[in-house]
Amino acid sequence: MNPTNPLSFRAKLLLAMMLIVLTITGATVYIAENNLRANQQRLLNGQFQNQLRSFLAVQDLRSSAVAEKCRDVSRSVRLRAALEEKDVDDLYRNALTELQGVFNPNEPAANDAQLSVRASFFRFVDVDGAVLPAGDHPAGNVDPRSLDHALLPSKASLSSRSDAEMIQPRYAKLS
Amino acid sequence: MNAKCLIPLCLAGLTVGAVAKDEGSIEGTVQLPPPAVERALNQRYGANTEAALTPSNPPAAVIYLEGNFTANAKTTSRAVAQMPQKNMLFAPDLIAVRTGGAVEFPNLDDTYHNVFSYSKAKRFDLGRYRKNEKPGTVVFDKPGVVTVHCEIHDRMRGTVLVLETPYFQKTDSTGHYRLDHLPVGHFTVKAWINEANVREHAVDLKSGARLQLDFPAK
Repeated sequence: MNPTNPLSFRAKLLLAMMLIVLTITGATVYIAENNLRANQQRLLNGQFQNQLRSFLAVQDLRSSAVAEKCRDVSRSVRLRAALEEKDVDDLYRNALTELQGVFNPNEPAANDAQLSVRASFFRFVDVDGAVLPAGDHPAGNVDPRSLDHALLPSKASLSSRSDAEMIQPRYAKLS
Repeated sequence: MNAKCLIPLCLAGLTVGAVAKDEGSIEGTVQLPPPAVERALNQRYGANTEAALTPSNPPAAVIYLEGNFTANAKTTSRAVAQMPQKNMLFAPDLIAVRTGGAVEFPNLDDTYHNVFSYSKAKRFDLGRYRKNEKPGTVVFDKPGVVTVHCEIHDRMRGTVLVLETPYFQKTDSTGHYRLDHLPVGHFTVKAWINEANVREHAVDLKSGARLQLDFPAK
């Protein structure tokens, strides 16, 4: 044994073993943490997707009554007759009758799932996507600029549709 | 028959002869469009879709004479015209009446019909009625085109052409027509096929003239 060397062989071995154990432990902890993080992320993503899907399904379900009514209205003989005569006044007058049950201008659009879905306004658009004014008819209040902006994506698709087709309902933010 | 009776009869004969001499007639053919394609029945009111569907009405046109007629122009009979509903169709789907003429819309089907019109020339709504119920007659007091619909069956569509002239006739399914007892003078003959397709010809009708006037497709 060399008395000048402060670290004995045993101490060096101990140090080396500690380093090895520390390295292995660190690596294991690192890998485990990464795995855990990835699993957690996957789980959260899955949960988010499920919640989003169910939210959209609930939203679709709640608006389907209005969409179905709109589909019915688009097939209404009286509305078509008014359209043929280019009588916008008659168009809105008939629509007020046809939309009874799903349209209430005095009730704000329901966001609570417990409440029934009711439309708070309606408007007709011509073949170019321009809004036909409702005149004095109580068709609900809406900011014309917001509506025009919200209808922009529909305008292009309107011209390519047949007269009997209804554009799938979509959600647009109205400020 | 004694001599007193013979004199008025002879005078009457002379009058008829004179009228006939001042009359003209026009006949010809209108080239009609092909029959319309059938559309599906509206399911809205759960209509009886198993009901027999006959082919739609054959195409037809209304021919009429337009112009300034003298006071002794022909007076058309005020008989009530009919536009019945049969096999979920207006049959016929095109009739012409003179301004002030009345039309009935009897229901010959076993289902309800609800005839209405939003046309500017005549707006009416007969409500729902069954086969044996008699809806009121509709008097067409303004000239123009009146499109009639059935609220329950969207395929049903008819046209009442309300004309100011007493001289009109609907063609047969081949497009043939004949207008008789027309006054002499300068007039326009029109062939109304639909609102977007009205053909016309100017004519000079002379006493006793028989004109041949065809309306080929545009």
